[in-house]
Amino acid sequence: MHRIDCPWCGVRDESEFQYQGDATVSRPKFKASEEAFFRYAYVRENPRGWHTEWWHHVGGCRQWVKVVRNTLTHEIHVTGTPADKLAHPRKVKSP
Amino acid sequence: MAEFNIVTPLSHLGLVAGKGTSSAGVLLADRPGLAIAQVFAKKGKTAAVAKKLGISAEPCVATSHENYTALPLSPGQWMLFATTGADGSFQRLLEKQIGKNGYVSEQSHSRAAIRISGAKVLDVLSKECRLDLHSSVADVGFCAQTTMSGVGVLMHKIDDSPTFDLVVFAGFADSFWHWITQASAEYGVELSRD
Ligand SMILES: [Zn+2]
Repeated sequence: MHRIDCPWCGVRDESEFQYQGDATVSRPKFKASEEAFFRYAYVRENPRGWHTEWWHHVGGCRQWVKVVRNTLTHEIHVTGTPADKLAHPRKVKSP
Repeated sequence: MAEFNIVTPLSHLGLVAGKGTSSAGVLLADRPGLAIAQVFAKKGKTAAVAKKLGISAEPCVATSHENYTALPLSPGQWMLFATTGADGSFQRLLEKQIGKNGYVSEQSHSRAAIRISGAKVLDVLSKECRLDLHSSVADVGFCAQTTMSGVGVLMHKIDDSPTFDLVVFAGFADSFWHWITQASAEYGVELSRD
């Protein structure tokens, strides 16, 4: 179970949220190619590790929350509003 | 002239007013007939609306006045409750008060409000509520939207006994009432209406 820090509501249980996918893709311009729209709709990096994603606080304030989560460990590094630019943690070299 | 029976989401249960002398561990009361209105601030007008209505815009902080109670829902949005004015007059009053700073949406017939009190309140709520309701975190006036038993609930802590108001969508009122009465049964429960 994740505990997600909603910027407005505070820390809440995952059960109040809906996962809404990759927050790094952005909609192509209206006149962009079919290929660009195909990539926008269907192609994802699916990283093993840190991922910036949307969680909709649908059971709370109904706002969208940006979350940097590790897909491997489920650790949540940071959360923010949609306008926030959230960095992934620096890679730590193994000893 | 035609007579109209006022129907509220739980009125079909045939509940009657409580005697206030119950030794049940949990008391559940339907609160029909409240005037409910949702207020939306226009962009950049959250503080202005809060000031006009004399209410807090901070998350989880209810403001109770003599005439109404305001529960913040999200930035620039509140649900307001009053004991009278479900005929639309409460909505019009709020519209007048906030002027051009925002909008008011009449919700009196779209919600059911259930008041829960008694010694075993927290035992019942803890079965489904994921919020920390300890008084050190959730003091009197605490409010939040959350989910219980799969139903969206707007909750408000009324007093320290503790007593909570649980507000659900009218269409989920039966389902929620079914859950909460079942969850309360083991402690002894009195069902009533305001
Ligand atoms: Zn939230």
